[in-house]
This record gives sequence, C-alpha cells and structure tokens, in this order.
Amino acid sequence: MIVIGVIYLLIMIMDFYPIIKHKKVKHLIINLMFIIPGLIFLFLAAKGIIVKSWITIIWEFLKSLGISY
Amino acid sequence: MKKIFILVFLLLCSLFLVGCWDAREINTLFIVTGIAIDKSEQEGFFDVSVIGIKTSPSRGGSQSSDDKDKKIVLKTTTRSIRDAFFHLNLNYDRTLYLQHNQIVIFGEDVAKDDLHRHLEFFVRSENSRMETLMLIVEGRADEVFKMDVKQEQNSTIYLFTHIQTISRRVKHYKISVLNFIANLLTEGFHSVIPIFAVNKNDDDDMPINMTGFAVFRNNKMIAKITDLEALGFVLLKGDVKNTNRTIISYDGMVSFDFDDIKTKKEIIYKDNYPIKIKITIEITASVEELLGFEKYSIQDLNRELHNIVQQEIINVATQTFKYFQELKVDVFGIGLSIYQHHPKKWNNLRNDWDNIFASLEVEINPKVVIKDYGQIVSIYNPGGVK
Amino acid sequence: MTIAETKISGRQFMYSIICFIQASAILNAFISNITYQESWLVVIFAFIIFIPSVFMYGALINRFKDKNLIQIIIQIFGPVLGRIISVIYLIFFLSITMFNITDLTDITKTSMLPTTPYIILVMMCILITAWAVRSGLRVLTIYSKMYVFLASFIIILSIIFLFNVIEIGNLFPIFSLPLKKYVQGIHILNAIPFGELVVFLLIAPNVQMNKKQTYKYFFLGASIGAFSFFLTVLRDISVLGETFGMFVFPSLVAFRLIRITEAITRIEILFIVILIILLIFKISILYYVTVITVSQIFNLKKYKNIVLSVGFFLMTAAIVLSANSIQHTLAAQNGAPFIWVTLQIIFPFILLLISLIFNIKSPKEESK
Repeated sequence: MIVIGVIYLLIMIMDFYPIIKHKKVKHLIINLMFIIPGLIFLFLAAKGIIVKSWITIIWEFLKSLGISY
Repeated sequence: MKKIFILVFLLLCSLFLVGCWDAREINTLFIVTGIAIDKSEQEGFFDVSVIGIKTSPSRGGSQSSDDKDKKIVLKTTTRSIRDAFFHLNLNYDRTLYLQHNQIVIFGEDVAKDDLHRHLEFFVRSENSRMETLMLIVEGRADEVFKMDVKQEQNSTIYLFTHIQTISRRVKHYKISVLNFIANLLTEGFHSVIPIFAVNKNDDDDMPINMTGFAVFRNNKMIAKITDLEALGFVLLKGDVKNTNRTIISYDGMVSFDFDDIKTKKEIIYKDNYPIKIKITIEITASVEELLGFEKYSIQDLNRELHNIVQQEIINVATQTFKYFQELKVDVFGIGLSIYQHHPKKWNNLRNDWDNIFASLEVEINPKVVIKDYGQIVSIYNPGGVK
Repeated sequence: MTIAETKISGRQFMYSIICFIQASAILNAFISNITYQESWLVVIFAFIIFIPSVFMYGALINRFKDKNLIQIIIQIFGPVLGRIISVIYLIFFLSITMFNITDLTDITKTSMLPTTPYIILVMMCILITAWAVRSGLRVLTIYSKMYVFLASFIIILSIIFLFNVIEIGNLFPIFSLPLKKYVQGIHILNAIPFGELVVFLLIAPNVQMNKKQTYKYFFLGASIGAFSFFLTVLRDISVLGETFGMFVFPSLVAFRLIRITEAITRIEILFIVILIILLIFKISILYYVTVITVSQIFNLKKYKNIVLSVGFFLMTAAIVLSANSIQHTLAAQNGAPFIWVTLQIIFPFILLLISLIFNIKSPKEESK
C-alpha cells in the first residue's frame, strides 16, 4: 500500500517541479495541506486502521441531535 | 522531454497495472454445472454434491469415446453450503468455479424440512447467479448425478436442456432461484417447483422423468401433485403456450393440443370479503388424434368435441382447485391479486388468508375454440363402416 | 475573476447534467429497501418536488452571470465569513467525491475484480479523472453527449431484452406504505441524485448561454436524467419483484437475467461498462468542482498544480473513511440527506433570497 502511495507521489513530481521552479509558495502550502493529511491516512490504511466512515460520523452526530429517520 | 516521460510512464503502467492480480487459469478451475443437496444421516448435517465437467484442451476432430469420463462428482457432508465449498476447495486440487452453475437440485427430505436456509448462500454469494434453476427430486438428489446420460456431457446439462425445452411450452416448469425467492417474499402467494424422479429402469435411455410439481407452503414442501392436478394447475395458472390432453369419452378417444391458454380471475366480494372466484380459461384447441366418433356428421362432431373438451376442463380445473383448497395453499396468486389491487382490503384478510382461500366458492368458465383438425377434413374411417 | 479559461456550449452543459443523474440513477439502491415496489412512484414525486429547485438554480446562475457559487458566497458574505462557508462547501464536495469513488470501486470489486486491492482501483480512478480535470472543462464534457446516448441505448436495450421476464403486476400495490416512508424516499432522492446538481453552479459561469437558455437546458437536462432514472427503476422492479429491496445493486441482478436463447446471455458486462463510464464522468465533474472550490477559496490563478494533491487526499481518505457498504447505505439513508439538502437546496435558496432583498448583483462587465 505504501508502495502505491509512493508511486503516486512520484507522479506528483510533475506538479512540484514547476512550483519549486517558479517559487510559488502559496501553491506549495496548499499542496502540502492536502498531502500531509493524505499521508497520515495512508499510514493509517497501511496499518490496517479503518477510521469510522465519515458519513457514519455525520449520521451519529445528527442522531444525537434527534434528526434522523 | 515531457513526452518521453509520459511515454515511459504509460509503458510502466501497462507493465504493472495489467489487472492480472487475481488471474485464474482454466486449468486451476473446477467448473461446477450442478449442485445437489440432501439430508445427511447425521442430524443437522447435509450431503452436498457438486458435479462438474472435465476441462481438457480441445483435440479437434470428432469427440473421442472417453466422453463419459468427463463428469466428475465431488461430495461432502457439512452444516451449510458455504462450508461445503470450503471443504471441497480444501480437499480438491482445483478451485470450484460457480459462475456456470446451471441447476440446484434438492432432495425431497430437504424440501420437506426447510429450503430457505440453503438458498441464503445463493442469494448472497457474488459468484452464484440468480437465474440458476431449481428442482426437487423424489428420494435423494445425488441420485441424479449417478445417472447415465448418453447425449450430453453430464446429467445436469441434460436436465438443464430438458427444462429449457419443456418450459418453452409451459413456462411454469422453469423456476429459478430468483423466482422462488420472489415468490416466498410475495404476499398471498405460494410457490411450486417441478419435481423429477430418477428412472431406475435400465431398459431405456431416459434417465429421469418429470412427475409433476412439489407444492410449497412458504419454505416447506407439503405435497406433490401429479398428472391430472398438474394439468389442472397449468390450466388454472394460465399464460401457457402449449399443453395437451387425451380424453376418452363414450364414443371414442380424442387427443387435443391446447394452445395459448389464458386465464382470467375475477373475485367477487361481499362486504369487502371475498366469497367467490370466477375463473375464465381461454383456450385454442386443435384435434391431434381422433378415434371413434363414426356416427357423427362433421357439424355434429364439432359440437360434440366442443362439449367434451369444455366439460373436461371444468372437471379437471375444479378438481385441482378443490385439491389446493384442501391443502390450504394459494398457488394461483389470488391473494396476491387482492394485495396488488386492493391493498386496504388485503390488510384485513392477510392473517387468515389460507382459511379464506379454502372457503372460496369457485366457478370455472372455459372458452374453447377448436380451430384445427389437422390435414384431413372427414373422420378417418378406412374400413368404410357407416 | 474566473478560473477556467475555456467555455462550453449550453448543449454540452445539458448533456453533462443528464450524465450526472444517470450515473446515480443506474445504482438506484438507496431507496430500494425503503419504498420497495413503490420506488417508481417516489421517483416521480421526488422529481416534481425538485422542479422548483431547478428554477432556483437557474435564477441564481442568471443573477450572477460570470460568477460561480463560491464567488457568490464570498461576494454576499464578505471575504472572511464567505470563506468559512466555502470551506463547508469544500468539505461537502470532498465527501461526495469520496463516496462516489467508493461506489465505483465497490461495484468494480464485486462484479469484475474481486481480489484486486482497493488502493489500486482507487488510484487508477483518481489518475484518470485527474488527467481529465487537468485538461479542463471542455475536454471533460466533450464526450458527455456520447455517454448519454450510450447509456440511454443500453437502458432501452435492456428493457427490450428483459421483456419476457417483466411482470407489470410487480409494480403494484401503490400507496400501501406508511407516509413517513414516502417522505424519506423523496428526501433521499432530492439529496442524492437530484440535489447533487448544485455542483453545476460552479460550472455555469463557463457555459455560453443566455438567460432563457439557462432555464431551458437546466430543466431539460434534469428531466431527461430523471426520466432515465424512472425507466431503470421501473425495469428493475418489474423484473425483480419483491426481491428488489434485497440487493446491493438491483440493476446488476436484473441485467444478469437477460437470456435470449444461448447466444445473448451474460451481458451484464455492458451494464458494468456503462456504469463505470458514467461514474468516472461524475467523479471527474465532482473532482473538478472540488479543485475549483479550493483554488477559489485561496484565490489561485491556476488550478492545475493542485489537482494531484487533492487527488492524493481523496485517494487515501476514500480508503480510510469508508466503512462497509451496509453502514454506508444506512447512513446515507438516515442521516446524510438532512445535511446534504441543507447545502444543496436550502442554502442556495437563502443566497437567492438575500441577493433579491438587498439587490446584490454581479457587477456589470468588468473591463478585462
């Protein structure tokens, strides 16, 4: 799984190369904003930890408010 | 530079992402064509047999004499179907491949006990297909696999072809897993499954006979109907392409083909309570064989035959209907039609429907048109006896 | 400032909408175990209830020509509050993209590649859609017309092929369920296939059409999409009967029943192919919208450089944040529609109302 993640990141060099070349700090920050949580998720997935489904979290929150069928 | 990069990337893709992750070669598969389920002597266990075809490289030319060796039967005794496949996969060199399964055969004992628990697997499994046919065999189901079929590769392929052929005429002979489950879930409706018997007689090459229908109340087989009731059932169900009946009367014997049978059911209510059912059976009949009846002129003959066939249909249909009323199973979907068209009325009837069905008055109303007398116009009477 | 450089025609916009609805329609599992054999009725009612929303979207597009949803929000609520609301929308777009990726990989896994690891399927999906998104809106939508015809052709073909197993009686009885079920069914349908059309508010500024055409194409697209949804549901119920509510993918089971003698059989692959095409299309639209939202929030001039990193996030999140399909469906049926509809229908309506009351419009033709 990590291997696949790394392959993907390698493909992303395509994007990073022009960013670094033109020193676009803003783009870099936004990219990292997505990549870092992505990496965290990747390691969680590789460890076999499946976080509760996002949609279920929403549902349980709504249920606690009493909004549900 | 960029183009070369993309090219290399695509080439790498085609190398590593070809989707051969779960490659299953045909020489590692056991292609299952039929499954038979029987009760085991051990309480709570079942004998599960699977039959498959031997896959061998085609040699070209005519098929050699070892055709008979092409059938392979595997057998195990377990608590559930999935468990059986697990066992067989563990103890056999090839992996069982279910996608081409044609038929699921149940022994009579299993059918009388509980059919539902065995079907769960077939519905849930992604590998099984819902249009797999179902049938019941008198006695033990695995007897079918021992049969010697000359024309086909193995007995389940024979049975499958057989059912396909006869269901072209009467579609009620063909019950798939999906049909049966849909019927189980449908309100006000009980199901039937064709029942077969293995021919123990060695004189002919007809290995298996169709004997009628097994009648189910929910998931349990409660009775079987043969000959006359089976014909009555087909007539009352309607939507049939072709069936036939030979009638012996005082004047002679006549064989009819019944084509395009259409049945209409009309329920008569009294205070929102069904009391009577009028069944109209429309049939186009044709005379196939006629012996006797010498004393009739052509016009009289037509009238007489018409009477005979009308009367016969009334008799057979009424008798069959009464039979099902005694069993208290509504296999004709009368309850279903109330549910579909008058759901409010149905709410009051639902719980007691079996008894209500048993107490219904029935009126059979045949509408027969005799359209065809075959190639000859007159009565076949070569001796010239007038 | 609009980000996307290219413009698409009104017709392409319409075909994209049809494609978008067909993609969800073909799945139709979300309501099957709530309203059973009456689902076809629910589809009709849900669409009738959705029609005002279509015109509401149209009005919003016309009022703010050359502005997408995020720009409208920022204009009305100011840069700070507007961005906070936009982030909520971003999370919403990310979630629905993620769920659609999960759907796509689920169906590929169950029907074709049962033992292929999840991450490979997700990655292939992301890479292909990322490629499309990077190429821009015009490339993205150019084939929508073909997809629509292909999908419609296959739907009609399947109805013809299944004609011998169709039982019209299966469609009855009607109005036999408790009222609450209908409300829930209509609510879900308004959230999941229909309400998702809100994403087209982000694409609309790149479409060349006048005010009248906006309504026309939006309405036509939605109604043709809804009609094919109706046909699929009708076909599945009449074929499967009471088992309709049992399966994860009722259409797949229906397609498996096609058997015209021995020659035409096992053609469910057709269904899977068309489903994958449509879902890929839908995912790429959603993905595009997500990326546009991100770049709009941060005021970027080009969105291309962030496509792959958003994809990386989507890929890993789709794997980690998806539980089993039963939980997924339950949550989608019972909880999600409340939030979805708020974002999809109620909030845009509030936007329209505010803009009407305070007479906020997009400034007339800035000099470029």
